[in-house]
Formats: sequence, structure tokens, C-alpha cells
Amino acid sequence: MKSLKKILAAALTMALAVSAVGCGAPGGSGGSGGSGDTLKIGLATPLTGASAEDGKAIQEGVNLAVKQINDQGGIDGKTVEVVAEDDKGDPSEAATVANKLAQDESILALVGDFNSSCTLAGAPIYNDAGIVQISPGSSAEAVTDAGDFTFRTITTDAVQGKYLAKWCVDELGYKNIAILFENDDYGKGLADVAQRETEGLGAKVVVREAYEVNQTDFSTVLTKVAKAKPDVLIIGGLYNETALIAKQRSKAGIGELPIMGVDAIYSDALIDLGGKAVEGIKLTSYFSDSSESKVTQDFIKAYTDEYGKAPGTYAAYAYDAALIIMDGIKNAGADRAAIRDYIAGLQDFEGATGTASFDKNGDVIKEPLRMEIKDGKFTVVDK
Amino acid sequence: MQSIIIDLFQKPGQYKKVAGFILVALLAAFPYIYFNNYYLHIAILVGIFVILSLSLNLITGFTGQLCLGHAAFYGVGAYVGALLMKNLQMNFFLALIVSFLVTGLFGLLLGIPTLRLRGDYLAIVTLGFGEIVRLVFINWEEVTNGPMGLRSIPAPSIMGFVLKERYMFYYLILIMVLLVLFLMNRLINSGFGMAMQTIKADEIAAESIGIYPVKYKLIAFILSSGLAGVAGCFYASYVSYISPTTFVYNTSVTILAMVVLGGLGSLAGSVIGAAVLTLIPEVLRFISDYRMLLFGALMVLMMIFKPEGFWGVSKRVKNIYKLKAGRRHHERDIKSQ
Repeated sequence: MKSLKKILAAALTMALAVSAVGCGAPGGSGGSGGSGDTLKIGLATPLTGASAEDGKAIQEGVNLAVKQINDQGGIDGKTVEVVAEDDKGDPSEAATVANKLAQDESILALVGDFNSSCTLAGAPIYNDAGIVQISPGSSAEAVTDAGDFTFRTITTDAVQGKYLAKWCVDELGYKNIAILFENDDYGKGLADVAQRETEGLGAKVVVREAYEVNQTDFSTVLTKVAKAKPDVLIIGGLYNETALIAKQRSKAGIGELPIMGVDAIYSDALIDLGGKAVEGIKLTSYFSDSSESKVTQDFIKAYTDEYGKAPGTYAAYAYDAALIIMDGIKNAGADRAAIRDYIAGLQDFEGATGTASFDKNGDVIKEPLRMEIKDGKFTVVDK
Repeated sequence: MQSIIIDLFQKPGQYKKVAGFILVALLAAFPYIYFNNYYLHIAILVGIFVILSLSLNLITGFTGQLCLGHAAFYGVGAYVGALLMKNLQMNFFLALIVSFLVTGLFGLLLGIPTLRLRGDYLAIVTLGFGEIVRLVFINWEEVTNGPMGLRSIPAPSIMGFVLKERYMFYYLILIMVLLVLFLMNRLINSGFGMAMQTIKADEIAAESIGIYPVKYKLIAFILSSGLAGVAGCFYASYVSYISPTTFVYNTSVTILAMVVLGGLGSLAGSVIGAAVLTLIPEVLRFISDYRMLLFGALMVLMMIFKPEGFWGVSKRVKNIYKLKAGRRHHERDIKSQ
């Protein structure tokens, strides 16, 4: 018995050692390796952990963009290859991934990271190495001055929050605002902007409460909201919690309270989870399947054909980010610095999430769409 | 030739010294063999986790008190260090010392009420402390900048010379690890260390021979939390960005796993545990989606087949028995004493 244990332990160690060697070899040659017939772009996204669902969507968006380019013959006859790394949604892990991707000189630019904290942790390393990172999901204001090589295809919370506040206060005439937000960098950033902007327009924030991500019972915060008697509830969070809040609000006696949000709740999962309760929710978004843009419609069709499901908003942002990078490689050549200069000067790039230009900080400039859930569907509306 | 081998066996200290010297030389040459920022980064992370697991081993492995909030001390050290360097432009090395003192103070405050009790109260209290610290990081926005975290934390500098390259951080952490190892080794083998291990073996017996457990447990806990703070301060300066999501319960468990997998109450075990548990997830990157799954499976297998860890008790005790049973020269040694 004892010897069996020893043999097993030895076998396990051997297996580990072999896998270490097996993995070390390509990594070692990758650094110095020539580009050959392939052009590499990186992808840093959470493939495991709490944000894995969005991370996977991002991976699918990038893979789709690359597949389309390769099907058309690649760039200058070379095929594009994606090197995907998992950042687990953890800033410490994101720094490791950044070191790995930046070290491999055959990687020309990358899409990533998703969480703002991860983008901020990776940014110093990417900027130091001089490689472009385009984030498909980091909307925190702090990313604005993260560095010359840091771009994003999603607008800041400030842009969307400002737009939402104007729509909510000026046009819909809501004066007493309730804000619920998830207690992390994203939710808090959005709540701050929403409060600042709505108050700037003369409205009053009567209640502001945080909830935890993955919380399932919202009765406490909803009771507080009901007590304050607001005209509208602005949610700074993602679709899962929004659906639950919408469902549970009737129990708190505010079943008719209008809900507004931003693009983070744009997902079919919101309607699947929320059913009737999410009817009438208003939101801003850059991506919509009822958009008339040809690029958007082509993207939705290709995505649905490829993966058998409708794309979410982050898949679309990631698709655009990958397209912009490949456009950069096509026009500026396989050179990290040249790609950066090209993207920095990019004007009116037509993507699945609208027409994009970058400002001097690498932030994207776009006009959001207004949407409302009508009859179980996201519909673009005027008001 | 034979005499050399016998010599090595007769003086295990000699043999160990040679091996240790070779290892340190190899580690020092590492950046020249593999000049790759990614490998260096991983090596630096290993260094940080070696300090963390060594410090946790002091309280959990050597004194036998379970602590489930080590990431909180790591985080407090990181935030204290970051704030001092960022807002007061304090020198890194001074900040390192202040981080040690501040986290040590937290250790003292937590330890005073809980270490007087027997049983796993410390585990529960540190678990709660970990959560409280995380929530403070998130909600005390004026100081910690909330969930957005702190950015642009300055790199260490020695008299105007800024350590900004990765290999410089590598040498810095290497020196820190060696220093911690040296101090821990002296501590463990001192009378103080013996007292700690006696408490672990049996608290009542320890008391009966005049060892006051609370004192030793408390000092071990203060040192343990202080060292975690030092690791945190280094991390903040190295990565230059910290946010609350790094210092969560999960990290505490990872550090504890390093200690347990490496071998409770073993310095070498802590080093091996930290290295292996940092390297495996990196090595397994190529299987992307399944890597954490396989990582978990490996840990389960390890605990089934080698529950005492890589460098467990039997590894250390067995040698002594063998010497006692088989080798004559050892008996001679004993007689001559």
C-alpha cells in the first residue's frame, strides 16, 4: 500500500513535470519566434470566475471577427491568430497575464481586459511594453488616463450616465431619483455619475443604496427605496440583479416604479429572468439588434450562425475592438508602435456598436441609442 | 571518496550549506539565464507568496493556531504602504517597516481577545476580520479610493536610484525572502521557537513546564501578520496598482493551501508550497477553461496521497530514526557527547 502511494505520487510529479516542459517550450520560442505566416493578437479576459460569462462572450466576439478576416484571406495573405489568456477578473492575475502577453513580441496588440480594475492593473505593463490594449468592457472614468496605449470601445460611465440623466430628468420629467448599485468599481462609478448629473439638472436623489453582486434577496434595499417615494429607479449594475430587482419590487409595493439603466443590462438574460416584470425598463445602449446599421445586422447574423445564440453587448464591443486592431495591422503593418499611432488617429470607424472615433485619451466617442423593453423585446425608442 | 560521503552524512549541516549555497547562486543567476519579463514576474510572485506562506506557517504550522484571514493582513500592508508612498512620498524601505508595525498592531488587537481561548476561535475571528477589511477597502472611499483601487504607486528608490526594471524587483524580493528565511530559521530553532512548538503539541503540557501560551501565541501572531504586511507593501510597490479584489478570502485560502500542501511547521515546505501553487496555474494555462478544475483535482489528489505535504513531518523525522537505528557513527556521536 505504501509503495502504491509512492508510485502514484511519483507518477503525479512526473505528469506535472512533463506538462511543465511541454508548455515551456512553445512559450520560450514564442518570444523570439518570427511572425511567419501568422499574425498574433492577444486577448485578456475572465474565462473563469465571477465574470466568466461576459468573458466568454468577449472571446466569442473576438474569435468571430478574426474568423471573418481569415475567411477573406487574412491580412496580406497571413492568417490572424488569437492568443487568449484568462485573467479570472482578478487584478493580480491580470498583471500576470499582461506580463505574459507583453513579453511575447509576436503579439501585435490585444483586446482586454474586461473589469476596470483588471484593465488598470494591466495598463502600466502594456504601456511600458508599448503594446495597444483595447478594453471591451471597462467603463470606469479612471481608465481615461491609464496611458497612451490604452483604448476602449465602450464609453465611460460618465458619458452614458450623463446621457441617461438628461433623458431621465429633462425629457421624462422625473424629479425624485432612487439609485441602486452593485458594490464594486463599476456600480459605484456609475452611481456617482448618475447622482452628480441628475442633481446637476435639478433633480433630487432621495435614496442611494448598494447591493452585493450575486445577491438574490433585495427586499431590504427595496423597502428603503419604497419609503423614499422616488419617481424613478436607476440601476447601476448588471442584468441578473436587475431582473431580480424588477421582479421583487412589487412585493415592496412599488411594482409600477419605472426602472432605468445602461448598456450593462442589455442582455436577453434580463428578459429571460425577469419576464413580465422587466417590461418597460428603459436603458441606453450602443448595441441593439433592432439597429438599422448594416454592420450591426451583419454581425448579429454571423454571430447567431456561428454560436447559435444572439450576441450580447460585450460580444459586440469585443468584436469591434478586434476589428479595430486588425484594421490597424492592415494599415500600419505588423509593428506595435505604428498600430498605436494608427488607432489613435482613427476617425468614424463603423462597427457593430456604432460609429467610433477615439479622443486624445483613447476613449471612444459614440452616441448611445435609447431603448425600452416592449413585449419581451429590446426596442429602440425616441423617448 | 567514501570518506567524503561519510563526512557529508556525519555533518548534515555541511551538506545543507553547500546545497543552499548552490540554490541561492542559481536563483541569483536566474535573470541572466532567462531574461524574460514574464518568467521574472512569476518568480517575483513566488517570492511574495513565499513570504506570505512562511508568515502564516509561523502561526498555523509552528504554533498550531488556524488563521483564515491572512489576505487581510496582506491587504492592510499593501494599502498602508501604498498610501504612505503615494501621499507622503515616504521611502519604500521606511514604508516597509511602517507596514510591518501597523499590520503587527492589527495582529495584536485581534490576538489579545482570541488567543486566550483554546480551540478554533482565531479561525472564526480572522475570517470575520478578512471580510471587514475587504469592506473597509471598498467603502472608505476618501482614503482607499473604494473599489477603483489605488493607482500609480511609486517604485522603490535607493538614494535617488529608482528600481523600475523587473529584475531589480526580483533581486529585492530575493533578498527579502532570504532575510525572512534566515530570521525564521533562527527563531524556530531558538528557545522561543521550541516553546511555540511545545504549545502546538500540547498547551496544557506547555503550561505545566512554565511556558505561558498566550504570550508565545500572541508574539507569533504579531510577527506573522507583520510579515504578511511586508509582503503586501512590496506587492503594492511592484504592481503599482492595488484594488480590494486582490485581498479576498480566496487569497487567504490559497496561502493556507500553500502552508498545508508544503507541510505544516516546515520552512522548506512553505517555500515549496508557495512555488508549486503559484507555478501550477501558470503551467496549466494552455488548457485555459479547465485549468482551475485540474488545479483543484491535483490538490485533492495531493491531500489523499500525501496529506502531510511536500515536506511533511515524516520527511524530517524519518532521517533521525534511520540514523539512530542503522548507523554506527551516529551512536558514537551520541556517546561522545
